[in-house]
Parts: sequence; structure tokens; C-alpha cells
Amino acid sequence: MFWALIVRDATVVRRELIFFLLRTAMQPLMFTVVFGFLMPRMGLVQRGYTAALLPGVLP
Amino acid sequence: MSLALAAVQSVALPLVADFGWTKEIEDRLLAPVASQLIALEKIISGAVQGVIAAVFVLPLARLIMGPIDGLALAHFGEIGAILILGSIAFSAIGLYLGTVIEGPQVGLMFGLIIAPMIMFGCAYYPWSGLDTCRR
Repeated sequence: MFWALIVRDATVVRRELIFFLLRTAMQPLMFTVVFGFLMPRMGLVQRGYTAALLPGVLP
Repeated sequence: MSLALAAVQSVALPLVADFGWTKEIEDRLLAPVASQLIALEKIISGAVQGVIAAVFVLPLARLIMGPIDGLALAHFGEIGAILILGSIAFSAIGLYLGTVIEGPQVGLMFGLIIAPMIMFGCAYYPWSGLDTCRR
């Protein structure tokens, strides 16, 4: 019975996987582009900043 | 951020909806399973979604940012442990928020809880770096 609940939630996630990824991953990825790619290249933040940024973007 | 958002949202938002119009939560609670197990199930499924989001974002972030100091395959175990523990923690927070917050106030959750957590939770700067800002 407990397992049935998990299977049901997993089915819901699988059905709307694309929307799930769009909803949760878009914001961190845009952050990564701006603070991890554009700004280090512009010299606005130091290169080592990506090491401090990744632990923030990921969890 | 990806993990936390995914875990909190995947538990809290459906839960707010369940408690609201559809009353779907009552169907769940009427199922022949202990309520504690239902809560546990919500936490587990939220945690799994959090890990999925993080696993999806990590390679893309590495691709966009290029080589990152301290990120190596040797640290795979530690990264995995942090992802799993973190997503369980945030999914439990999401369960709590989802039950506490009334339907129309879901937007408040992001303004008052998630946004300060992202900005002041030392997500984008090291905790030890605050020491230099103290004068």
C-alpha cells in the first residue's frame, strides 16, 4: 500500500518530467550563465567565484 | 538552489492544492495506511525529485562554467551524500510549509521564506567571507 503511493507519485513525475525540469532547473541555470559564465569573463567577479557559486546553485 | 526548490515545491505545492479545493488529501488519509507513512511517502518522493533536479543541473552547470576548483570525480561520494541528505531535509521542510500555509498565501512562501533563504543563506558566497564585511 505504501509502495502504491510511491508508484503513483513517480508516475505523476514521469508524466510531467519536462515541466518539472523547466520549473526547477531554469532559474539555477540562468543564474549559472550570468554569474558563472558572463560575469567572470567580464572580470566583474574573480575566476575562483565559480567554486563558491556551484554549491549554491546545486543544492 | 535547484535541489531545494525542487524538493520544497514538489511537496508543498501539491499539498496546498490537496488541502484546498479538491480535498484529495482526505482520500490519502482515508487509505488503509498510517498517516505517518503518508507523510514519509511525501518526503521520499520530494527527496527523489530534488535529487533528479540536482543531477540534471550539475553537468549543465559544469558545462557552462568550465572547470571548477574542488569539483572532481574523487568527491563523488561526498556530493552524493550532500544531495541525498539535503533533499530529504528540504522535502521535510516542504511538507511542513505545505501543511502550515493556507491556499491563497502560497506566494508568500517564496517571498518570505525561500527568497531570504537563497539570498542570506550563504548560498552564493562563502560563510567565512562574511568576516571581511564586519567593519
